[in-house]
Amino acid sequence: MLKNLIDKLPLWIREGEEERDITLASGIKISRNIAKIPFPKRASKEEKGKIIQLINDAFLKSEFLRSLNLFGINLLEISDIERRVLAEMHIISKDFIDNPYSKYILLSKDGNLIIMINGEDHITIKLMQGGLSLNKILDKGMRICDELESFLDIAYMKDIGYLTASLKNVGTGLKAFVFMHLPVLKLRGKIDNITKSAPKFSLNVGPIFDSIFKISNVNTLGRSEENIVKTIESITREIGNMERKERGEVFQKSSVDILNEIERAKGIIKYSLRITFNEALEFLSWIRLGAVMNVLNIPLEKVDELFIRINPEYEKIEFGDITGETIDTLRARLLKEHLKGVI
Amino acid sequence: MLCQVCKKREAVIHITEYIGGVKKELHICEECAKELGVIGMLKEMDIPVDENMVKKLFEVMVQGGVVKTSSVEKKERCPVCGLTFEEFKENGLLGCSECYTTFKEEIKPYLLNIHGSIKHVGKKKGEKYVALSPVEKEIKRLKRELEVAVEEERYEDAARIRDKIKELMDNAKKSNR
Repeated sequence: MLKNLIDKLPLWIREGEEERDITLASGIKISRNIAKIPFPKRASKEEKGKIIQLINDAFLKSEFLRSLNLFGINLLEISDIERRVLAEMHIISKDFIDNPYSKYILLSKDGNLIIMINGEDHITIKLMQGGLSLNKILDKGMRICDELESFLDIAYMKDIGYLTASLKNVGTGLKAFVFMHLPVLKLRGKIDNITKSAPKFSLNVGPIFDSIFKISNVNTLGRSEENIVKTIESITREIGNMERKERGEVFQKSSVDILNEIERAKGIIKYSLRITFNEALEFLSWIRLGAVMNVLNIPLEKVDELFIRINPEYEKIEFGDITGETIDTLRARLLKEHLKGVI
Repeated sequence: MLCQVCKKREAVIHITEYIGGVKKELHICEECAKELGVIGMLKEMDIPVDENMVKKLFEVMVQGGVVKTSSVEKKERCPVCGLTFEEFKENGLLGCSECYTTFKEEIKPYLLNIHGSIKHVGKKKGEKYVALSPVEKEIKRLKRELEVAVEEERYEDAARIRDKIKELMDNAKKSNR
């Protein structure tokens, strides 16, 4: 059952059109707690059980929450591999699987909405979508919060807003992020200027891997939800325009530099029997650029889905706890299959 | 050197900042610094409120002894979860929502350091977050800013924000016709 579900999880990245050429995906995380019950780390087994019960009751009472059609998973009832796969695919955080007792996840079928219960906070709502879609997913996330608030006594103080276990999330409880694809800025060594200027806007800009960069807000207090999202979106667009400008220039002046990388990526994928995770990311980055610049005939969302599917742990669901070499072999096969007709 | 604000007491905090190539200085006494707070000091220096500047100034205030960070810590435990402030400092996590009341004063410097603010301006509890049009969102955001400006007695800013809200609302009405 879970295997089928996990197989469909990468589908969320297909949705979302905006600024797709420069962004892979957008996400938000909203933290909420129930008043007067200790935060999970300090709560007893009974208290954590009570949290689960209260949230369950809220879902029973709310037609809207039920209409989300979420699939509930007790973390203790799935295998260790399955838990690791969920974390590796960034469906749930790595910390969340450390101690699986009294923890639940509620999951939408295409993986775009995940509610974690009894992680660092009682409730963490995570929403994701492809492209630059922060506004849209914020609306949906806040709608869920409104609904939870109607049925639960959510921890809140007038001065400092929604209360969370870590002071880093207090206030709005909102962390928003965008994954950008910046291969040409990286190639031309122009990333440093951007990462250095980010703190000016209280944003974090950092490499996730290879040419994928994550932009996220630092502050959750002292600014509104709209303001957080607005700042990230406008900075994303600004950085995106820089990347586009560089792409245009490089294709005009020295297209061979880029075409060489794209062709090499194609060739290695085509003829390799083993591909490591890092290699796969690097090659996919060039394939993606080829798709954006109309050099390769492949839909962008298909390439983006591969970014999730090549996660090594993912393959363990099917093949069990296999060695690194075997995973590399499977990955090479998977890439060849999915890129048939392109390479 | 005398405090630039009260012009009576000796200045104990000295700040020099270059903003856009212009040198700005503030020499201020402990009492006035306390009174004005970080945002007030920025205003005094005619520097636009910027979160990083707030943090930086806050550090200056800590160094100048205006804000005490450690000596006010209590030894008491949170009545709901039993957490002490020492335990909080070890792993950075509070134990329950009641901790925010128990350690209200102690966590303030931490909040200022992380967020550059100790005031929530987002969605309020009980208030529905409705999916608004971009203009409606902007109006809502400005209204919150207006509230804060009034609270902080920044009346010039408040007037400016009020005019902007009026302009947006008028435009919205026109386009609805």
